[in-house]
Amino acid sequence: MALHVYGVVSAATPLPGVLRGRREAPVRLVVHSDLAAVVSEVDADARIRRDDLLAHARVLESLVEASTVLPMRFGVIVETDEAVVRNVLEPGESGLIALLHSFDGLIQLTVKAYHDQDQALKHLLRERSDLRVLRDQTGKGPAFYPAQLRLGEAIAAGLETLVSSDAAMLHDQLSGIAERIVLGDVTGQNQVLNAALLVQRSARTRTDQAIARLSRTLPDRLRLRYIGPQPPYSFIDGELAGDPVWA
Amino acid sequence: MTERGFAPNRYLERPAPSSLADVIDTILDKGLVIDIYVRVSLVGIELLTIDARIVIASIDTYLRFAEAVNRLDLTQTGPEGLPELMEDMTRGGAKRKTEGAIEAVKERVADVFSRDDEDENEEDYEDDDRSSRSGRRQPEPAKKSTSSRRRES
Repeated sequence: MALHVYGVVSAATPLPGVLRGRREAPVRLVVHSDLAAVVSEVDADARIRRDDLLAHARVLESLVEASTVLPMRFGVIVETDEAVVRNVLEPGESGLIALLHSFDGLIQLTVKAYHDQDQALKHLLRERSDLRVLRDQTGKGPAFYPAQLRLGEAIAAGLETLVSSDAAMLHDQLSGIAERIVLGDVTGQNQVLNAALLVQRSARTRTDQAIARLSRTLPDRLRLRYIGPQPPYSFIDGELAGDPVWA
Repeated sequence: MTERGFAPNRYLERPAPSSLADVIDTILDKGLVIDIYVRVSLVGIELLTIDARIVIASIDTYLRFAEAVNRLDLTQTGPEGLPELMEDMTRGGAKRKTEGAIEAVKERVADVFSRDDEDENEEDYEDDDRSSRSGRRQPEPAKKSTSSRRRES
């Protein structure tokens, strides 16, 4: 057996009563002075299933409800308690303590925005007479193939512009809500925005209300997904760009 | 794959837990990493996430957009409800075709991981650093699944 490391917390962090990790194994702390690694036993040779990925996220999301958590990227497997101390906590001690301190009381909330494609297309057609003209020039059959291509290309370009302007508008609205915002990659043709918000845990209710208010005022073509609370994945990533702090 | 939280805006009162798609976005891509030894054990997974970002823009896409636009009725207002959206995704209508690229990508990622659940004998992704260090871990299943999905969509 080996230990799956979920993240690092301060040694004084209370674990929720029953916290289960990968394959339902009980989650515990490996403590070293002021720091603790959040671990559970795992078969080192175990194949990764979707449940394992979700378990990693769930453990961290449970802890961050009440405590400051530095998330490990999925896949940190260490042989024993001693190895956790030797390879993770001891060498990283000063860096980890500084990070824990800098994220004290902060959580990440993620807002993802998507276009309802039909609504976005309708919006484009209503706004742009040139696209309506292109549409009227097309018809069925091979003779219209070039016209169809022209239309499709113009629509794709129009959607791209609409994505940019909607993303800018949303970013603007969200920046009033969060301490910091990091924009992540947008991963599909219907996704408009992927924004990680760093907010005070104590401001959670206010943030929820602000997001709900924002979502009600958006045009039909925009849909929001609101995810969290999460540990500050997107903000740690930036700070550790390049070599890990203690490498 | 469930799109948890992808609900009409009026129900958006509090944040939802991460879905599998969100998880792939975050825990495979972000967070603390110990050292080079651990990075190696993550190689297979990283390949997956990079692969998952490929979105196909092509003539095919243009034709699908054209088709989607041609069937739009501008006099009809209001968004489709969630049930219709979900149905469309599974029914394979024009909408499904237009969204093919990204849907295929998501399904493929889910596929690669679910394969583990179904076939324990298959050479597949493991969180075992030894296999990756010796170079045995190749993203063959992902590649196979990619090409077949692209043909379908």
